[in-house]
Amino acid sequence: MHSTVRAAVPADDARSIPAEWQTILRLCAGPGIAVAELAARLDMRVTPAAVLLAQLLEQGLIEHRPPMSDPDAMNIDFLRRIRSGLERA
Amino acid sequence: MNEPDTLAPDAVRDAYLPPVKILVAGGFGVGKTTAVGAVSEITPLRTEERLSAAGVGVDDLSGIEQKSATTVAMDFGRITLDVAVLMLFGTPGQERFWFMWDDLLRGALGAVVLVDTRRLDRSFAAVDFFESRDLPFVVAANCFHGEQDYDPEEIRDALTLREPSTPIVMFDARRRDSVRGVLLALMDHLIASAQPAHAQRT
Ligand SMILES: Nc1nc2c(ncn2[C@@H]2O[C@H](COP(=O)(O)OP(=O)(O)OP(=O)(O)O)[C@@H](O)[C@H]2O)c(=O)[nH]1
Ligand SMILES: [Mg+2]
Repeated sequence: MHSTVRAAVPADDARSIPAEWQTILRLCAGPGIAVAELAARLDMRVTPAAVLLAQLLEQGLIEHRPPMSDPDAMNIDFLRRIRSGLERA
Repeated sequence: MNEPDTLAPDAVRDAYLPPVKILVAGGFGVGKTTAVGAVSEITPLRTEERLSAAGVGVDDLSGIEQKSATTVAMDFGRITLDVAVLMLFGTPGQERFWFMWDDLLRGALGAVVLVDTRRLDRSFAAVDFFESRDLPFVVAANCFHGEQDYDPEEIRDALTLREPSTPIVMFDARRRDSVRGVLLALMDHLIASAQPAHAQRT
């Protein structure tokens, strides 16, 4: 629910895929969209949406990224950058 | 059939921003939905998840017992920064189901526990849950009437917070800058906790 996904190919380049998959490709064409958000926009529960996304992932149509929480990734510099970004947001 | 290009892993594409997960918790009616909506750049969404009590052990007894299942609903909002996307998850009030929800805490960087000082008891469960799981959090007291009858130390005592460094801030869930202030307090707390103890006063 908390990973983000994004399209690995433009929806227009994948016309032969099911319409539902194309909708998903369009929804995740930006800088990454949370599975939770995508599920809500598709009017689905999180688990079935994740199952669907796994199929697109398998086909190489999308890529995914888990949330940053690993202590290595969460170094102080990164935390500070988030903080200053938030201050300006 | 027009086969999509396989993605070259080293292909340079526009930045895929790292997602950062933050939970917004607290008891019934404390302002979770309001707070997520006030600070989110999108209209907050409602996401549903179905939890089944598999693994709790009821099935083992008879083999015929129905698995109990429940649907929980979360609020979702986001704030896109230059270095990351903050994902805000307003947790559902049914804390009694949290224990069987592996995904709730996974990947969370920290949490905000909202409290209504007139009904502090409603947020005890969230405080206990995050303390027992060691997830850093800040307490945000919602000033429902524009003023607060309690000071932070009174709230700290009433909540019996385990960690003396857990910040307590006053806020208004309806105001964007106020909720953002709560998130900034959470970031300060995470930054302070990440400092090696010996370096803190240099
Ligand atoms: N005056 C005032 N009212 C608030 C504030 N925050 C929330 N409210 C109101 O309090 C009520 C409950 O707020 P919600 O945001 O729905 O609370 P919640 O925690 O999402 O509630 P549940 O999801 O039902 O547990 C709503 O009518 C809000 O408009 C606040 O800071 N000040
Ligand atoms: Mg709500």
